[in-house]
Amino acid sequence: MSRGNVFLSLVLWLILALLVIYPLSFLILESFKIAGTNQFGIKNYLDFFKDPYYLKTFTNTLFLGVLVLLATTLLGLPLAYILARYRLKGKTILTALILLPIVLPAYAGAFALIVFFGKQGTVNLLLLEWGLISKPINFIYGLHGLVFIQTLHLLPFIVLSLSAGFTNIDPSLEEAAEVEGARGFKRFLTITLPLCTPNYLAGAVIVFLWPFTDWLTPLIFGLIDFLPSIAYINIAYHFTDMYRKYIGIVSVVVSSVICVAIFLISKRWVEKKKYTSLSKGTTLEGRIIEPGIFITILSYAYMVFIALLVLLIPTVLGLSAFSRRWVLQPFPTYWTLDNFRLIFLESPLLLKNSFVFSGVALIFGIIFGLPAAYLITRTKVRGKEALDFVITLMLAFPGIAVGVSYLLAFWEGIPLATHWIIMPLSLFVRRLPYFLRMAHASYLQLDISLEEAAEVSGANKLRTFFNISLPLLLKGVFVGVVMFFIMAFQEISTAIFLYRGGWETLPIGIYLNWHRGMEFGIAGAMAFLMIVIIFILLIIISRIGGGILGAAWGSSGGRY
Amino acid sequence: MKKKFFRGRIILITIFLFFCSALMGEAQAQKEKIGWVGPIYKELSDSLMKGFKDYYKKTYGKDIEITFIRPGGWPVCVDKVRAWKGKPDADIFLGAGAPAHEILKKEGLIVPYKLKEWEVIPDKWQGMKVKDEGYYWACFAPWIVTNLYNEKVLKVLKLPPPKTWKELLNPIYRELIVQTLPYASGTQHEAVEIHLQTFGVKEGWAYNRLLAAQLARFSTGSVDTTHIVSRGEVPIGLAQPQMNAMVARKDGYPVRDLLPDKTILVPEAVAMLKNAPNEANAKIFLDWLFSMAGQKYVLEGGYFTARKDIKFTAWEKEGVAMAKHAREALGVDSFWDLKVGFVNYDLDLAAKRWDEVNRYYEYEIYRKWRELKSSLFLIEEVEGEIAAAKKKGVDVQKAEAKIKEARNLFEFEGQYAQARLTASEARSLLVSGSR
Amino acid sequence: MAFIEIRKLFKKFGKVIAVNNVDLEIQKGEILTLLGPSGCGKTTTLRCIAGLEKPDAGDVIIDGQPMFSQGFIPPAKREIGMVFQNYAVWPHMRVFDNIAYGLKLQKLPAATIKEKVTEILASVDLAGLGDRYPGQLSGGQQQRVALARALVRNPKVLLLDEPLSNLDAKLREKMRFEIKSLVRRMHITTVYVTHDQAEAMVISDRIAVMDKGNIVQVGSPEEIYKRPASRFVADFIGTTNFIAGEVAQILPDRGLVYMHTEFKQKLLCRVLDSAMANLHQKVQASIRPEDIEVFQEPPKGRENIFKGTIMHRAYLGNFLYLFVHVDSTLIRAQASYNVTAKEGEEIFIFLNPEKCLILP
Repeated sequence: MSRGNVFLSLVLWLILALLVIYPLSFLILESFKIAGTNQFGIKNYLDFFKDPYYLKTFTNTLFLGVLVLLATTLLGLPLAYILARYRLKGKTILTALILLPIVLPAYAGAFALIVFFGKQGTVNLLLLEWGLISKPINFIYGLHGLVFIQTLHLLPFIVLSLSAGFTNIDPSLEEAAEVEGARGFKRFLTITLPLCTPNYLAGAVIVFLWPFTDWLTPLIFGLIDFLPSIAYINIAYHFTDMYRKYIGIVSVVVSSVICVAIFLISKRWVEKKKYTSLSKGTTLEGRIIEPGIFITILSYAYMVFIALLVLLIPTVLGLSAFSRRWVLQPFPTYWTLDNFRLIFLESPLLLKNSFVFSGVALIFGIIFGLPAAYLITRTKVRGKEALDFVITLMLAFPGIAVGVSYLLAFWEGIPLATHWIIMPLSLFVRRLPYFLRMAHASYLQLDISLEEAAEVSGANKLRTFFNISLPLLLKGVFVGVVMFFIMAFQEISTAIFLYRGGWETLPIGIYLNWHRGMEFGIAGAMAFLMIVIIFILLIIISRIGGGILGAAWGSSGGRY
Repeated sequence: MKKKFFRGRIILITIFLFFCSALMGEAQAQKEKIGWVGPIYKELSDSLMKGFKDYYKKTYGKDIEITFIRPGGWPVCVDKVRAWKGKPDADIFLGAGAPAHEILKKEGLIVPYKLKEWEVIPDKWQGMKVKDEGYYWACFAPWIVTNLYNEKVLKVLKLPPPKTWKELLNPIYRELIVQTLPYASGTQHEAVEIHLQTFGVKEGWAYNRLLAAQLARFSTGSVDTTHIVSRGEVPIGLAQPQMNAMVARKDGYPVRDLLPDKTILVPEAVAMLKNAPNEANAKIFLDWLFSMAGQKYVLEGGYFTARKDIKFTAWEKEGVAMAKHAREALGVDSFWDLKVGFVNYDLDLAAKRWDEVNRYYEYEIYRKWRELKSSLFLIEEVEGEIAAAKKKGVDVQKAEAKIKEARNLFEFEGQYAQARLTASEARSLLVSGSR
Repeated sequence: MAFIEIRKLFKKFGKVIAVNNVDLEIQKGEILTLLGPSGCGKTTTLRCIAGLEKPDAGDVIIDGQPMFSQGFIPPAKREIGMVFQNYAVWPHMRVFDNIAYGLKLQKLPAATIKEKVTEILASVDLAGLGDRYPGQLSGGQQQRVALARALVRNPKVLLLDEPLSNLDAKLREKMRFEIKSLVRRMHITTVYVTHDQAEAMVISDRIAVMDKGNIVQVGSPEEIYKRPASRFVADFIGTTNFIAGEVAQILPDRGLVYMHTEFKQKLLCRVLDSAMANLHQKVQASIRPEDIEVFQEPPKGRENIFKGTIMHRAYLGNFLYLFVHVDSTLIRAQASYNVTAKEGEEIFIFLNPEKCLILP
């Protein structure tokens, strides 16, 4: 155990302590405060758990998670299978399209849905015009709309993880099943699907935990009775009522505990049964089947169906971006580039902030992430598993928890939040796991003997890193970098708590322009811009990184 | 040891970066600054920023950096000022009506300043304070708590716009109304207070219960309400700042003001914070805000103007675009010419029971909304059955008494489940009575 | 009639012909090995028998039923057992469930399944390990699970695709015998694929040697070893020496010819295929190291005695291995310990004419 490594791990732990452990402790501490006194106690928690209303919000959120998980799995499973197994033209385009929902913040899609499916939205207006209905149909206001929008937003996670799972299965495992007498569906159910479990779980956890962190989307559809939403309202609108604020914080803490618990359970589940077989050298593509004509037609139909679903929201956003006064009409009639002019000329600040904050966060991410990955994969320093664990745990925490805890810790505690650096710092903390996963996976793929050979030839560790490791890691690291940037760019649940005048990012701009101004077009244009920027970045990844993206999502399940 | 060197360099660079930005911050401190905190809308703050920056440049030849923080509705802003504990980050409390400024005055968080053109603002209007006699605050943008409706949608539905609070309870408007929660919006809270002070506490809560049954949904803020009405998703919206209609119209939405029979004035006011870091600039700003030039920017920012001597027609001729929308929305040539029914609003009472009102609404009406609705709907059904039976000559005495009891339970006791049960009892009485 | 008949099997991958019109008959109950270097088409042929590949032309007929020409019969319906190179033991199922998988699909009653699985576990020496997960077993144990799984359903045909290549040498040697005895006991027709000729020799009743998609020789291990049909077979199976030259004289009634080589004397060789015995035809003679006798002094009265120098002397445990330079040809010869000559010294080798084969 070299001293350099120990020093490194201490530094990393220090940073984590400041940025993760301290604010979260602050949050938890705050939740024990009793309103109107200077004392601490568990009164808030008791009230929370005794109140049937809060329990209802909790079960609602749980129920929503289950529904969304079911919906994404049902929708995503066929698609993942098609993408992974069938040799069809147009798969690359569809794969790129599938990533589109990740690009958009979920709430931007909600706005678009209101424009399209609302009581006075496109569909209802057209149906009324054509005399097919006499009263508008309620397509979205209610649980069904919420499930719909969240399913659309989360579909890529399931599709990516499942298709990575399918691809990574050693073909001989399925061939053996066929030889044993299991055909088609039977083989799929007993062999193929179970073997995907670690990959599936990686995606499923993200999907299931999402309703615990998405406080905004339910509010847009007029649904308040969900744990994160009620937490937000209680904290943001507590005015002078400290009790309400503390209850809100308790809600946040409870959400976080649930999320972390589920996260840990899924990790242990994967560890219990072994999922890796003894296979050496699978073909890179996995098993590819030439489908028969019937299946081909069905597959294409399904791919088109999904593509239409996915393209719906960007299309609506695009239409509104290039128009104004699109209201009470099925389609815009007044086209203009004014929205973009407004963004670029009069508020370029949003773009600048987004890029600067994400960029700075990225630099932090690399500085922290690469040494961390090195420490975890290559050294035997004590506590490295704990380091890995704590970092990955950040994925489980709802954005609202990070936002509120940072607000508390760095406003009332260490006054870091008065400086704009708090924005990239919070982005960095939330999105670090994305980068670390990629760096980690890349390091694991890098055979240590390559580095050892260099050292035997006389290179010291630093030189080895720059000459040997880094170039070989570059591909995976680059993908991690871009992923990090994308996820940082579209972050809102934390940013919205911490921003002050002048620090608005593009996602915050979208929110403000929907919520405060009257003109949806500007919000639409901002959202459209975001889509374009991130989509370009995604294309870069898929060109360079391709399977690494799916592999990082999928294989990390099997890594544990 | 390899990472140590790497690390070492990076740590140094990071520290260096920190220093740089701190230095930049320092450099910026040399500039002229002013800070606002308040609940006004973004359009107004944008407009005022633009106007004041231009004015400052023209008058003093310098650039001024303006920061504006909107932590939330006015109670949140007041909270923010409190949190600064005497060392505020801002200079001006911009916006919010009398209650907010009275609280600030009482807690010693603001200081008086006599504007250069103090007299141009009225003292009172129809009994309500428009500025503080001790010069602590003055209204720069008055408005009335009102309701909104989407005229296109109501036309399609062939419904007349409701003119009074009581008219909102008409079953024809069922599920066509949206409002927010009183603890999420100062304006909404004030609307509930208007009901309580106009009808009396008991009747006021009864009214709100009945009103809640008319709602399609609860929105998440007063702007959310405006938005929903503008898009036509729900055609009638309650408890809105009056200028929202004007702004919506400017953006092409077919929204109209719906002045209720009784309402209150919200004199959106401005005050200077105690220990303001840029006191001189704050004073310059205050004077500018009430000048003709400043008031033009207020109108352009989507708020009505407070100066007595402004006539919209005159401004229209001068080419102020918003003046036209203002005149159309209000129907008069100056805000102070409006004829509105006002309630004698007891500010102190409102302030005293602020939290209590919020809590009551949340626990008794919002959380029990489903119960409330199903209870009322059953009561109405049974009432209808009784009325029909009465026409046929059936003896409905017992049932009538029962259903009255149910209604009482609902409206005045707020016992929805009990009311529902009583209503079913009334129904069975009716059935047994008709045998 | 043959139990498995492979008729004109043809399969291409892109431009590469993997299986080139192969014909083969496999008798019921025999163990036949497809042997050859990598890329020779043996695995593809095996997979066609299994139904995991579909040939471009030709057919496989198992127990009288065509597998391709009258509609594709999928692997699940062929009643075959298969052991894959990497065992393909399902990691998410216990050993017991792995083996019972096929039986469950046949909807056998649970008691029967338990009985059969327990029995087969004992046969492969894995008794009591039914509850473990494959991840908890060693490579050798996993291999036996794969074997048990393939055999438990009493399949018509057992296919093995290089099942031992992932094991270490000692284990490999042991498993060869075990597989053979197991399969013999159960009388299952077996097709085995390997590139290891020693393995093939031990396990097989017959060997089919393949090269570049073609079968070049089929025969018992002894036949193939002693009478290779071509240079390729001679070189692939065991070790051999090649001596190049041309036919000098034909002795038809004895089946022998004389060859002109670079050696000073003529080389007397046996020719198996009379088509090779043409005057002045360029040929190669093959003789195995163990068929060469080594003398310190040249024996009298024999032909095919050549003088050479020992280049290298290797001690192989059970015999000596000498690399002898005769003129410019390097000959490998096996010798007993009686030969005390050292490196650099002269030696005489006798190439037995009967064992010196002229091969196409």
